[in-house]
Amino acid sequence: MSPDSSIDSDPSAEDPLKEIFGFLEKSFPEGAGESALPPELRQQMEKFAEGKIPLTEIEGLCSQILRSPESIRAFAQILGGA
Amino acid sequence: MHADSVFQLFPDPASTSGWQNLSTEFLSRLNEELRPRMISSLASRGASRDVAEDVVSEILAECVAESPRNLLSRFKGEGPLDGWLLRVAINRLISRQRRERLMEPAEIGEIESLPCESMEVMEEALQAIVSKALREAIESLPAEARLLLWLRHGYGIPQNRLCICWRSTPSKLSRALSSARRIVRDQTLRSIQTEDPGLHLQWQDISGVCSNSLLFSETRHVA
Repeated sequence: MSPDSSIDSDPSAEDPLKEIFGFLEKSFPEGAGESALPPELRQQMEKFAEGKIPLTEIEGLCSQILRSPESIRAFAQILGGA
Repeated sequence: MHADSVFQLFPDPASTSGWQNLSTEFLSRLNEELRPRMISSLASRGASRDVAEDVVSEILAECVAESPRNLLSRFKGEGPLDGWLLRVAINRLISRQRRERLMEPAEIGEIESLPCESMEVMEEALQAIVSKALREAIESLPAEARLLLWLRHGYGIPQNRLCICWRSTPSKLSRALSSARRIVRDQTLRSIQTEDPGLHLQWQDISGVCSNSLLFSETRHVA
């Protein structure tokens, strides 16, 4: 983490968001997980994780990922956090 | 420290002797400036005038009580004091009305008029207001910022990992996250204030509401 990260230097700003997003994540419905993920989207996510998506296409890909909790969860798994 | 002048007189929470040396001026202004706000806030949550005054008087009396009953000695300095005292008052009101429900026998016909019933309705209303404000604030962000928040705060993805995806530097990403958090915080609080002007929630209160409720139980929140 960057030493100038305001997240690290301001825990009071982070804590409420941890609660909020933690709660959001817990309230995800039990889905089919990665198997429900379109293979093309998964490929795009893997390219994204490697920094290989053109910057002009990132916003569109983010919108696709945000369409389902399974997609966000799968992307987090690809990034090693879920 | 709170920007409001009354709180500039508040002693350093880390100081063990500060509580014994609270100035008369501070206590007087606490009573004059904060008391009406607290009573108004409790009244807006359905408390009768008598009950609201009773709860607030009890809390302000504890602010000047000797240790270990001194309420202010439990304030850790996290966030503004007025918001903290308001939360204490709301929690005290909720506890009081729950206690009354347990202690008072009621005829079936009287159940609808018991105070706790309105408290439950008020808690649900509060959760609904916070839920709506948060959803709208998060959903107002561009997709990139929303996904960043999700990955960083929802899943704890390290910031340097996110830098690879966005081909960005840690400082740039940190600024993007800070900006997104600030927008969510400001817009959420603004929406709540617009929805219920009598509701004086601080940002720190939002997490408490989330942790105690069934917010976001619907499935559309990430769309």
